[in-house]
Amino acid sequence: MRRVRIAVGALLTGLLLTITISCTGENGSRSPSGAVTATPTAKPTAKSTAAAATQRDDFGRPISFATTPLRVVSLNPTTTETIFAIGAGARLIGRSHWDEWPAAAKAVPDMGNGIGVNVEQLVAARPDLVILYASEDNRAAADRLASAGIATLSLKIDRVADFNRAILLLGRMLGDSAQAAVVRDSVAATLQRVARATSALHHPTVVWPLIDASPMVVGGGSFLNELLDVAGANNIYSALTQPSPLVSIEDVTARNPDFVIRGGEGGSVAPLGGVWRAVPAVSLGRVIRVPTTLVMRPSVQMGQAATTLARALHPGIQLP
Amino acid sequence: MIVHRAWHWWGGVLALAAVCVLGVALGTVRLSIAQVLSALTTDAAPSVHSIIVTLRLPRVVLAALVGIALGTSGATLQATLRNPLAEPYLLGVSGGAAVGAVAAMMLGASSVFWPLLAFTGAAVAVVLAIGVARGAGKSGHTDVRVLLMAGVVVGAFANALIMILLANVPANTVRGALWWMMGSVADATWYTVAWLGVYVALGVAYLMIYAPEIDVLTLGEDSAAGLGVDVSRATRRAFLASAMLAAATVAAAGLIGFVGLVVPHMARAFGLSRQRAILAGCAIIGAILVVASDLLARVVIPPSELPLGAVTAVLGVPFFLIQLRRMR
Amino acid sequence: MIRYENVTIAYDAAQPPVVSDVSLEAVRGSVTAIVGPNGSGKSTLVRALLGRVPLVNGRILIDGTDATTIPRRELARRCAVVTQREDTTFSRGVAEYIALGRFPQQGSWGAPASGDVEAVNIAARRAGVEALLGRVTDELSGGEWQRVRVARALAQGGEALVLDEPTSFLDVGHEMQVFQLASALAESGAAVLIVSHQLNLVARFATSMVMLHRGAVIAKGTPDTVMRGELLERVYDWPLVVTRDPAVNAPMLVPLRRTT
Repeated sequence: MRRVRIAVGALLTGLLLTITISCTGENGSRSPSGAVTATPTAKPTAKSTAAAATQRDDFGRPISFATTPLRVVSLNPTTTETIFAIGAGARLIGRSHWDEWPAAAKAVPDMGNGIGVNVEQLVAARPDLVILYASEDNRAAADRLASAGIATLSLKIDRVADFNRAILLLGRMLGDSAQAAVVRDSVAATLQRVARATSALHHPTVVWPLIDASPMVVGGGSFLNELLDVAGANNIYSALTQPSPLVSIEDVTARNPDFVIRGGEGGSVAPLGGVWRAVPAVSLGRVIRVPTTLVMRPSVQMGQAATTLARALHPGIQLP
Repeated sequence: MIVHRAWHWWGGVLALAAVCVLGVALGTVRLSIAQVLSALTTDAAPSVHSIIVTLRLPRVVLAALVGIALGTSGATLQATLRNPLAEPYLLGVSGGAAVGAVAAMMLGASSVFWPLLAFTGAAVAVVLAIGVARGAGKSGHTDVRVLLMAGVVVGAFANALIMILLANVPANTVRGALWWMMGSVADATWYTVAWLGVYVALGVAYLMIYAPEIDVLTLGEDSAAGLGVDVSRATRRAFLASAMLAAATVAAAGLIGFVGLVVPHMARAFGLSRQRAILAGCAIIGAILVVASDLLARVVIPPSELPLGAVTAVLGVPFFLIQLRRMR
Repeated sequence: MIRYENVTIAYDAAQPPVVSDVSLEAVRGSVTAIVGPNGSGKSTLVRALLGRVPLVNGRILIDGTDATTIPRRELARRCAVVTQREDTTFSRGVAEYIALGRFPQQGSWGAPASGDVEAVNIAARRAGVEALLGRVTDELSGGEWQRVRVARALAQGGEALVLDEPTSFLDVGHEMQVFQLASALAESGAAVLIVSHQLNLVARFATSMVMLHRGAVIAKGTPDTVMRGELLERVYDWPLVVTRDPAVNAPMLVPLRRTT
């Protein structure tokens, strides 16, 4: 009997430990571009002091501005878009599989997934610079590329502020800081215009599911939440600091948001079925669809994304 | 061994009713008793009504159906194979169903189609296992041991397929696939409840009708033949019915292990020995186990849910330990 | 009642037959014994009756009708078999176990009828296990278990009873119990067919013996005709003598030591 007690005790202890760890661990922290990451840590605050301190990328690697790279591989849709926007698209010799915009990007050779990169293929292409998404899955690849003598730039562009920093950085690295500043300012101006136009309007409550089953929604830590703020909506989960927290469908139902938003990276455009029908907004047809390619990430198209979203949330709004 | 009494049955039914009521009353969102009761009439707040009628009720009913299906399937297989370690996913059912579901996810099919593809995958796996066994064994009789090995082979093959399928898909799909495989009744809808209900009713009725044959099969194949049972046909019937019940539950709720293994032991621990009584007992106990597990899965670490298959295992293991001790 | 006519059985077309051209008969009111060394095909004959092995040649007749034409349940109602081994993974009450013998009598729904309870009691009484009806099968001793199995066979209601090696692992007293029971049943009119390697007990209780050697019948007749020294020595390949036991008036085999 004593032995059985010990066994049961051990099992219960193991169980409690497992549950505790699963609670405190990565509770679905996912950036909108689909990578499994830890909740974002502080970014290097190097944007203001350009000259003095050595700038580092989001893996902590020092960034060199010594030579201008002519053969660039960009394994991240945001950076690919940005490079085209600042006029350096001709220098791209490789992109990630998911880079769809602008149309010219499709002509650039596809070099894989972007997460879990194929280092051999990259080395064979002889690039001067490889731009990676700074997820933990890519750290090993960054190290291997560096030891093969290839410069890497790893960026985690998850928020509007990240984009602002990144575009200036890319502009400086690729030799056209002025054009980068122009693009950045134009995007920022559009966002401000939309925010001003919606500030006086009533902000409907919304929920934005990224994965239907579970379900995983846009939380306070996500770029999409920033977009919702600008477009004049009240995300019912903005109080949660994670970018993509898991919530319970019962909770969503109880909070009864005015609208459900569908679309964007990771989000499906299939009709919401199953248990989502319990949410009154769904059964009343109050589902807003946003174009998948547009509302993906903090990038060059942010302005249009905000505009589209604002128009959908506030029909008849006057936007220049 | 407890000797079973008439009041045990009433107790079981009451326990099932109690656990179902708890399953509807408790959840991530706290609702008062008044709210819960009001939801069953028409004049409740729409969100409360939604939560109870669209979310919790179908879930509890689905959990009960899954418990009934897995319990009776396991009981039938253990008796037919004369092996107390047999369980419903034997003939490659779980592997085949998982392949079907993952394939559905990869093709981007709407989640409405996943159960259908999961079921198809399971059915293909069973047919494959039986085919392999027939080809490998002696002519005429389907040798049970060969059948079990064929099931293991098919299951292993299915697992390999799943790993290959998941190797090059976006992380979203991997997560969805894993979540599905961990088993859950969280996506229960009345539609699912309806088709699974029909399935389970037919399957359990079939098993009940042929239960006396299974009683005789437990004596061994030769003795059963001597009592007038067509052993091959009876064995095949039992396998197919059990496998189809298991496949239907996997299609509806993913992989929920341990229930089919443990529930028949619980029924026997109550002193039941005739197959009909065991089936009835397994239905009740299975339903209680899965409904209670689902309730626990929901309320332990809200808003996240524990995987249902893990909770059923956790609840079942202590029972198994007690059984082991009794066998000493 | 049970008649094997020129029965030949082979498991595999390529292999030599396990049983070749065996003919024997078990009639009502008598105990017929099939004897022979290990591997001589004795149990195979029983399995053939159960329909578990196909006949290459010949047929098995039950009261003149070919057994393969009789529906299984009907066959089970006329002829009960107690196999050498039975699966005991699942334990049950003795009364419930004996009631399993009523299966061939029950329809598809399988609900026990009042006639069943009576039949179980009668079978238990005939097998001498009435006192065990309230017990559980995995608590029984070896001899009790064998007699309960015979009771289950009797509950099937037929007039033929086949016992395959019923006394393996039983001690002397229990062995005698089983053979005495078989003899009593034969006296009450049943056709009893016993497969056994216990030559001495068979010699005392059997009305006729059939000796198999390598799948073929090598001797058939009363115990006195079959139990002959030089025949047995040849069949069992061991030095022995056959004497006559004065206490029981039946031939008795005594094995000798081998010196070479």
